[in-house]
Amino acid sequence: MTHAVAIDVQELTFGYGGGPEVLRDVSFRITPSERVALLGPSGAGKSTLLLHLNALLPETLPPPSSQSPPPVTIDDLPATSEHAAEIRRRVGVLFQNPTDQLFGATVGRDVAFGPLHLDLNSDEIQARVTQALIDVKLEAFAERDTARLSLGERKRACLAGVLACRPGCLALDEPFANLDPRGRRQLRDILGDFSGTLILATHDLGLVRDLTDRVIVLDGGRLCADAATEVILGDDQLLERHGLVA
Amino acid sequence: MTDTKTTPTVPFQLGAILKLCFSVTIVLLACSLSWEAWPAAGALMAVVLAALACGRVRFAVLLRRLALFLPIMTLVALSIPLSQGFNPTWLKIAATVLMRGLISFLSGLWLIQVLPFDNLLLTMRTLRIPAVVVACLAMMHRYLFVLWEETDRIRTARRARRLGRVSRVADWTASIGLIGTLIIRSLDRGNRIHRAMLARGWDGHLRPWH
Repeated sequence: MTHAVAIDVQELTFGYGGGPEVLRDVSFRITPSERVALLGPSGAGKSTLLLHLNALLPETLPPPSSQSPPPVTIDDLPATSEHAAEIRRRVGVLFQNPTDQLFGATVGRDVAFGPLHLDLNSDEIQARVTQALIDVKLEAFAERDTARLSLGERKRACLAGVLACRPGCLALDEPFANLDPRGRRQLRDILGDFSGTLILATHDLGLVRDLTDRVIVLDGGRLCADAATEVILGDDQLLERHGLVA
Repeated sequence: MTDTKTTPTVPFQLGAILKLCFSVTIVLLACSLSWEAWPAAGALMAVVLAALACGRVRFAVLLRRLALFLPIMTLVALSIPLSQGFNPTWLKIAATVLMRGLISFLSGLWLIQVLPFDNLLLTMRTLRIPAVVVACLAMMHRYLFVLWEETDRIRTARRARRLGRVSRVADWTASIGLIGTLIIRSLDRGNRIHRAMLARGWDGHLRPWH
C-alpha cells in the first residue's frame, strides 16, 4: 500500500533528559521514494532527528491514547508505543558507528538478526541474508568474523543488516564518514540502487548532489532551509552561514 | 598462545563436548569442596594442571593470568570476613573461596586454550544451553575486543601527552582515570548497541539462528 506521505514530522521539539533542546519546532514532510539530504554542522541535531524517525526517541513513546498527537508519523502510523515495532520495520537506520551495529559473531548471523525478529521462516531468512549480502557486494563474507572487517566492509555489512529487513525507507547517519574513495564509491552505488525513500545525514556535498533531490538544512536544532538540492547547493551564502563549506 | 594448528595435542583431539563437560565438571567439583577436603582439592588441582600442560599452555602465560586473577580473587575471599567480621572461621572461609575460585579459573583457562570460542558457542548450542546465555557470551566476546581497542586508544592518547618520566603513583592515578573513562564510554556504547538492536526489531526475545 502506498501512502501520500512517507514521513511527516510536525513541530518536533526534543531535549535529552530534560536538558537543552536539541531539536526545536522542526516540521517537514517527505513523500515515498523521495531522496532527501539532511545537512547541518556537527551538533545540529541530525542524528537525534534520525532516531525519532525510527521511534527510538523519545525513550518513552506516547501511548496511543495520548491527548496530543505525536510529532512523528511514518506511513500514516503515529510514533506511539503501539506502532513502534512496525515503524522500526519500515524505517531502516544505519548508525554512524558501524561497530555499534554489528553485534553478530559473523556477518551472516548479524544480517540475519533483523529477519529473525520479523519471525520469518528459516528459508525466507536465509534468502534475505543471501540477497542483502549480494546487494552490498559481500556475498563471500557470510562466515567472516565481524571483528575482522575493514571500516568500509563494516559499513556495508551494517547496511546489509538493514536491507535484509526490507525497509521502505532508509535513514543513514554519516554513512560516508572515514571511508576511503573506493569505499565511498561502493556505498554510493548501493544507495543509488535503493528504490525506497532515502534520508541521508552527511557533510559530503558531492554525494548529496549525486544521491538526493532535496536538502533540509538543520542548524542549532532548527530547520533553516528546505529546498531542491541544486537550489541549496547553489546558495553559497546559505552554505557558508551554516558551516557547510570550508 | 600455543601453536595448536600444526601439532594437535591430546586435548585438541577430544571432542568439543567432552572438553566443555570436563571443564564444567571440574568447576562443579571444586565448588562442592570445602577447605577440610583439601586433599581432594589438591588432586583436582593436579588434574587441571596436567590438563593445562597437555594443552601446552605456557608457564609464563599461566603466571601472567594468575597475576591478574589472584589479587581480585583474594579481595573477593576477604570480602566475606570483612563484611561478616573476623570470627574464628574466617580463614577457612576465605581459603575455601580462594581454592574454589582458583581451580575454576584454571579450568576455564584450560577450556579457552583448547576450544576456540566459536566452537565453544557451537557446542553450547548443541547441548541446548539456553539461547540467551549463548547470546550473552557471544556478545561479550564480540565487544571484549572493542573494549580492548578502546583501552588501547585511550592509553596511546595518554602516552602521546605524557612528556618525560612519570612517577608510579601518577601512573596509577592516571590508570584509575582511564578505567573511569572506559566505564563511561562502555555505558554509552551499551546504549548505542541497544538502540541499534531495537532498530532491527529486538523485542527482548532471542531467536536462535543456525
